[in-house]
Formats: sequence, C-alpha cells, structure tokens
Amino acid sequence: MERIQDLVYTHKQGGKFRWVTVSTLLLALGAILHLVSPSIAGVTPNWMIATYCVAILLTKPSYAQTLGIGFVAAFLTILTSKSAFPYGNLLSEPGGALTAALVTRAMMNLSWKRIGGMDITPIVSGFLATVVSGGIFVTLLWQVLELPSTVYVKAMWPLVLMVAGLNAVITPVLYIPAQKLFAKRGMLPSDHEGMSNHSGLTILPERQAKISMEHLTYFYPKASTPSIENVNLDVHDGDFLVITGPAGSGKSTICMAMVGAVPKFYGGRLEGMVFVDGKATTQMDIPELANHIGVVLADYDTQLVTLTVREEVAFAMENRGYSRDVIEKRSRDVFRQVGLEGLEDRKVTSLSGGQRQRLAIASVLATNPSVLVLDEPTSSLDPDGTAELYRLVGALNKEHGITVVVIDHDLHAVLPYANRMALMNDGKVVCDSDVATTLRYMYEHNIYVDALPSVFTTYLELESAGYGSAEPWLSIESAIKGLHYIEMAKAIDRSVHARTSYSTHSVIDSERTELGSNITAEDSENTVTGGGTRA
Amino acid sequence: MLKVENLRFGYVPSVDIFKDVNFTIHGGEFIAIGGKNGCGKTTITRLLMGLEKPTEGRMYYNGADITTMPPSKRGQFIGYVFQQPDRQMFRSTVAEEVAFGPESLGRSKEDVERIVNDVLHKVGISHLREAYPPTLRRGEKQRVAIASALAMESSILILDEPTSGQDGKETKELLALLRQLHAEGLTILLITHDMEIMAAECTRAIIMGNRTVAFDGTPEALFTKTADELHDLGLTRPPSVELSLAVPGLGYCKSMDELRRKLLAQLEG
Repeated sequence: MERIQDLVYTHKQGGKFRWVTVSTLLLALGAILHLVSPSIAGVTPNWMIATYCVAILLTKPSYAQTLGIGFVAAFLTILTSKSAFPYGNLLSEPGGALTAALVTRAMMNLSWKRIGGMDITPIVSGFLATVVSGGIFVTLLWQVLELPSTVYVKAMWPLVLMVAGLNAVITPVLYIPAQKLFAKRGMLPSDHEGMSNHSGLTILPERQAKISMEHLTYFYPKASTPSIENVNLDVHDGDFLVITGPAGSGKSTICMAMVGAVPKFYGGRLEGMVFVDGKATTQMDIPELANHIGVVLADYDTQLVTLTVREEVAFAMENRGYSRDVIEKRSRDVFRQVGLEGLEDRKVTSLSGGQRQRLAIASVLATNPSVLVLDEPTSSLDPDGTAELYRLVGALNKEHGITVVVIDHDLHAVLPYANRMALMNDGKVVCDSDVATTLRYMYEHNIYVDALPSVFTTYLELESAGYGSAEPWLSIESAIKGLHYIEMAKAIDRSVHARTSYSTHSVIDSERTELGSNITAEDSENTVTGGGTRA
Repeated sequence: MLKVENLRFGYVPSVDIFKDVNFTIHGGEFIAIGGKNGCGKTTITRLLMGLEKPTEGRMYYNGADITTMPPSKRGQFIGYVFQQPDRQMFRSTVAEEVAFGPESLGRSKEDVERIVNDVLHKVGISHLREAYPPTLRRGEKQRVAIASALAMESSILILDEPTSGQDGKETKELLALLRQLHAEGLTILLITHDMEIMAAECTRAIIMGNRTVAFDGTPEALFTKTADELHDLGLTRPPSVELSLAVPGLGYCKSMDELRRKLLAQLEG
C-alpha cells in the first residue's frame, strides 16, 4: 500500500488525438507534393507514402490507427490519381502504412539503427513501405489488366524498386524538419516523460471531505520548480471558502487542480492527490468531474459557446442526454437562481459583462454540481457588479446549499459571505482558518497586506494601540459596533480612572448604569480589574 | 484653465447622453469623475480630449476656444490614459513610444533623449525603456501612457478607471505616483468607481447623472449627503466616512488613516 505523498501522476499536455492532427497535416502535404512533384529520369517519388511514413514515425500510432491513416492516404491518391486503375491503392496504401508501423516498432530498440549518428529508421521504413505498397499495387494491376508477365517482372518491379530508392531518400528529408517542427510545438510525445495511468490503483483519501487536496505538489510541463508544494486543503460540504494570495502564489493552480485541468489539460507532474467526493481526480475524466464541480473562469467569455441565452444553458444538459422536459424545468430554475429571467431569447453578445458572467454561472449550475468554483470572478467587474455577484453567490451558498470556492484578490466584497479563508504564498497554504484569523495572519506576517480591506487593517491597528473590539471588523456594520464598543470601554475606563478614590461599590454601580446591562456583580468586578490595569 | 459651456452630446442624434454640462477645471485640481455605468463619464472626457465632437456647446483652454481643435493638437496640453492602455501604443519600444510626442513637435534629438529619460525616471519605468509595449503588464502600460503625456508637458492628465481589476499593490503604487505628480503641479482627472479613492485622493468630485452634471463639489460635501441621495447617483459612502459619522465628535474622515489618527487622538485626549 503506497502512501498518498508517494503517488506520482504525469501527463502530457494536449489531447489524445495528436496522431490525427500530425498525420492529417502530413497527408495534406503529401497530396500537394503528389500533384506537383517533378520526375527524376521519368521516375516520380511517391510522396504520399513518404508522408505517412513520417507521420507514423513521429506519432507511433496503434495498428488500428495506422490502418486509418493508410485508408485516408488511399482515398487521397485515388482522388488525385491519373492512373487507369487507381483502386489498388485501397489495399496498397494500408499495406504500406502497416509496414511502416511494423518497421518503426521493430527498430525502436535496435542498437544498430544509428549509423554515423544518424537514425536510419526513416530510410528503412521509407524503402520497405514503398516496396510493399508498390508491390501490392503492381501485382493487382498485373492481375486486373491481365498484363503479360514479362512486363510485370521486367518493367513494373524495377520501377517499384527505383521509386522505393527515391523514397528512402525523401522520407528522412521530410522526417527531420517535421520532427523538429512538431517537437518545438510540444505536439510529440517526449521519451523521458511518460503518461501515467491510475485506473488500476485503489486510491483512498486520508480525510473525509467534499474536496480534499492531500500532499499536493504540481509542476507545470518543463517546470523545474513546483507551482504548488505539499498543499493540504479540504473543502467541506456547505463551505464558502476564499483562497487568496499574491500574484503567482499558486491560487489559480489550486483551482485548476480541483476541476482536473491540472494535470489532465495542462500536463505536467502531479504528486499527492486531489479527491473529489472521495474519488481520485486522476481516475476521473474532466467531463465526469464537471458533474461534481462547476467552474467559472476569470475569462468567462471563453466558456460561452452558443448564440442565445436559452441555448447556452441547455447546451451542457443536452450533452449529458437530459430529456427535453428536464432541460426546460432546470433552465427555468437556474435562470431564476441567477436572475436572468426574461432574457432567455437574447443574443449572448447583447448581454453586459456582468450578465454574461451570470450566464456562465447558470450554465454551470444547470447540471447540478455540488461545488461552484470561481476563479478571480471580479477582475473585470465594477464595484456594483462585484457586490451583485457576491450577493448571488452568497445566496446560492446559503439558500441552495451549494459549496462555493472563490479565488480572488479583491477581498472587501467577498468577506461578508465567506466562512473560511486560505492564504497561499509561494505555492504553499500558509494559513487556513476562519476569515478573521487568516486576515490577521496576513497582517502579522506581512504577507500580501495590500489586499487587506482598509476597515480590517484599522481594526488591527486600533487593537495594537490598546483599543480592542469584541468582534473583528469584517463589515461596516461590525466596524460600527466595534467603534461603539471602544468608545464605551473608554468611557468606562475614564469613569474608573476618575473614581479610583471612591469605594469599589460605587464603581460597580456607576458601571452598571453606564453599560446599561444586567451583568452580575462578579462579572463587573472582573471588568473593573481589567479597566484598572489599562488605566 | 479648461472650461466647458452648455455641452450637449449624443452618439445617436435623437438620444442625448448629456446636456447643459458646465464646469471649469482649475490648475492643480485632482478631480474624480463618477456616476453609474453608462452615465457618460468616459464620454465627457473623450469630448475634452476631442475624440468626440459635441452636438452643442463650447470648450475653452486658457480663454482660447478649442471646440474644433483636433485631438492631436489638444495632446499638447491634455494627456489621456485609456482604460485599456494597449490601444494607445504603436511603437516597438517604450522609449520610442514616449519619444513620439516630442518628436512630432519638432524637438531636437538631444532634447527628446533628455525628455524621455526624465519622464521614464519620473514614472519609475527606466528599466523598461527597451521593452516591447504589448508585452508589459497593464500597470506598466499605464505608466508608459502617463510618461507619454508628461513628455508632451501636458498640464492635464485624464485617466479612465486605471485601478479597476488591479490588485491592492498595483493600485497603491499607481496612486502614489499620481499623488506625486499632483504635488508637482499636474491637474488630474480620474474616472473612478472606487469610493475610497474618490474620498481620500481627490480635491473635487464631478458626478454625472440624470443626463447632466448631477453633483460638482468637494468629496466631503458629496459623501455627507444622505444615503438615498448617494444611491440615486450610483454611489455609496466609503467606509472611512461611514465610520466617522458613527462616532460623535470625530468629524469627516476622508480615509481610514485619517479616521484612525483622529480616533486615537480623541481616545487619548
């Protein structure tokens, strides 16, 4: 049984369909070269074979995928062919492609494949694929057109071998620049960085939570230092958690780890684990995770894909196969929740920024995720829009029980709604507690103090000057209460000071009247002692 | 110094954004322009800059009528920092960008060199002189735009919501720069939604609303209005004012710093 801190998951950036992209590009190039290629002494190199050899060498596809590449090449050659009987390509091109794949695999681990520092695999595969493909093609032609055997042996086969010779030259000529080009763009699998697969493992969380990040360390691709380091952070059911920290502290990386985009979209190396509803995110796909966690990105416009408001909210539900009735009912519900009723038929482009952001929230809520993650939601909103957004999110949290995680640097507006706050610094969670404690930590440890709301800073500064409040100043209302508390304490203080020569009894009496409360004599005696010390 | 009279403007001929706009900007003022979304805050500054033509009304700079003067000419006394400053940069290095203004005025090479060095130093981006403007952060781009205005020796600087979407550190640094420039005699017009900045930094507030100037006076006069009146203007009281009103005898406090100072003085005294 492995410990969670020893778990490692690496992922290569990009989708799993890179072989399609690379081979499509190369086959298109092959078709063009096939049409414009000059002949050398009456013999034309077969560019189509050369290009799919290069594609296969670059992406190392499976045999089924190879067969697909071969058929696409066949259709392309048939469509562009000037030959009397081009249909032989339907057999010859897949044959050639399979040969190239066989050669690529066979030579992968051979020690003698390098001659004078150069990899000869492209030469060998270019030559053999052409021999096989050309061989199949001329044999079919010989049979179908009932040509004499002498033509087959003495003209056709020598021609095939000549073309194969030419292809042995052009395949590496295409392969070397293509390899450099695609490698530079990160479209090729690199040998040292593999793809992990956790599907066979049983991974159990150490802690019970809605989302738990356990011993989480993450490196972006090619990064030598981690963006987040040994992060342990839980999100509980019903939480309203704010994650804050200076720019580059890793707060957005945390957000991306919760929704599975780290590492499954960005690639890179993940150590430790993120659990959502007790399941490891490396064992779930991003779409599956989206059923649990809805995310609204800082750049929410990129999430909107349809023309009208109604379609946008229906889109995610249609993709998951909801029935028409359910879609209509859910749509009505979420439009009411986010306050977009009556705008259903508007074009998305005609909405204001704040409305488009609500629409992004609505379409995320449509599929009923239990957690809503918002990454820097207020960076493009004015103060009114900010207040309105947090009112909405606060209501979703309180009234609909949706767990909320907000990543933001504008703390002033979000504080009244949050029940927890985590502070990130240099990729680590340095404080995770209730809002007041975390804000105090920021102030006392001088981390990201510029983000502290001015009201809260004042509260701490007054406190350090000897004027504490009963409650932290997290809103204007609590600040006003705090000010009254300080005034009152001062008034008591003064009266104590003024009457020190009087008997203890009269102090208690005066205090009782001033506080106007029904405190017991014992309690007030304590207060007096406190007041006396301060004076 | 800059005076507007009976200004009327609408993007569509039949719909006025505002009319009957009258105010005079004096040298050395630090003016906040505020109001609800869509009330014409940005539009009024675009008229001042000459980027839009008023339907009616006249504008004067030091007594001279500038109503028909093109923006390129007005650039000699008004500098403008757009909300997205990347839209106003078109040269390949910061130094060239800043040099464009004085060059177009026909200043000598040495003069231009000296001016560019001075203003880059003044706004604190000397280290970025060879940088390519589009690669800079927004706060840095704003400084390039401010430097360009200073290089023209503009007497008025207009900034359109320079602090929205920035974190506390960037906002504080920008305000420190504006405070310094204001102390050196620059007149500043700041379009802002931020009540704390409006109260703490500005000497005057012009609030647009009801299709005209709805308020023109000191921030103190503005924020001591009733909460309902402020709400109608699309404003709220900044925390310092709200709290100072809650403590009897404290008096108006334009910033939390002032509030703390006064409060401590009151408590100690």
